[in-house]
Amino acid sequence: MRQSTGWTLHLITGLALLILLGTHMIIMHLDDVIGVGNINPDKKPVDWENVTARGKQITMMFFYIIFLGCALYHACFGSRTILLETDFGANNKQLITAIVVILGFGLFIFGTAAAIKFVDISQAGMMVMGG
Amino acid sequence: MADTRKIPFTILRFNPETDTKHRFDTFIVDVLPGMTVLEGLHQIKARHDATLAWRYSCRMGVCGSCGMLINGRATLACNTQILDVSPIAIAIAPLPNFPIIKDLVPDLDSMFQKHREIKPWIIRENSIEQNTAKGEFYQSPEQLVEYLQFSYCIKCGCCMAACPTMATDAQYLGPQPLAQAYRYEADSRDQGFNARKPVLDRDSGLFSCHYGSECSVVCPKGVDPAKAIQLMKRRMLLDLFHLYRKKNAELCPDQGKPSAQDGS
Repeated sequence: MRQSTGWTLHLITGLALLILLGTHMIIMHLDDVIGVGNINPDKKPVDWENVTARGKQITMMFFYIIFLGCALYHACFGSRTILLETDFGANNKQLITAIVVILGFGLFIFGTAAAIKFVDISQAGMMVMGG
Repeated sequence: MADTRKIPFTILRFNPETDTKHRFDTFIVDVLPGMTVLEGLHQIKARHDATLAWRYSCRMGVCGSCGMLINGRATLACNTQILDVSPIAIAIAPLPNFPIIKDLVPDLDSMFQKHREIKPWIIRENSIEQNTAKGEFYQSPEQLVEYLQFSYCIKCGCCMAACPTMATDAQYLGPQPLAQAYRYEADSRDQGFNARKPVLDRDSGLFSCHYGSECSVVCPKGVDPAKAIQLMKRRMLLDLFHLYRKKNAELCPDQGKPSAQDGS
């Protein structure tokens, strides 16, 4: 990948993280101030009932996957840039790139699977409870 | 003489052929107002130690040979007055980020190699037109101003020595070659963007600049490499989205008759 492409994506994901992280903060931690996105208003956003209620929503699943992808790309590209500037990184560019790519994709697949599975588990749980 | 001051010069000494590690030698220099660091070094060589090595040529800030680290700042010894730096003590070391040939003589070969890589000459798509031109490529004063300050570079290496990215990544192209890449890119007569792109857009290339701007602070000729790098980044990003357009100077058969007005 060209350095300009990587760098531009790093900027774009950085900006996306501002929005996504802002949304996360509003939903999870600013419920007393703003109070949006809380499905069960009598519970705190971090309570299990609200977590499962959000998790079973398809829109939230996509939100988590996009959030995860942006955060992982931003973190992995940034870490790679820092590592390549060390003596070790400068002499082992391909190794560093391979580790970062494998780690990034691995975590993305794991996180995506968890987000998808959570929808299933939530739906199964709702079915067990007669929801 | 009444105005003479005795100022200690502490100089980093190292000869790779004989020394296993560097050392610091201190010499007392009789300093007169207006005396430069280069003159101080000459005095040391004449009076104290004839083996002291440094590089110089023009003595007037033109050739870029006498770049060194003077009290922590990379600059030219010939246009730095001792009393402007410090009336108490002077510490001199070779330019950082370069191997040392001897004492204050850095090996600038890596910089010149990177400079060559960015193809620092006018490139035209039609080389026949360039080599056998029947007229001149008209350039307006406004088009000249676009790159003029960047053409003042004397390749002294001070910017490379001050660059924090260079300090951690020896393969980084560095401010001098990158600023020169922009110098030619901003030249309305040049059409070499695609020829330079692979070099600029590689790992440890243009986008490795962290915008520390120390290069611009230390440049003895007032060149602003940090600005050139940011402007080059903008052009590269526009190119990435296929938005970059450059209107080049055209061959003007009749002298004095402009054929292109805008090079931006």
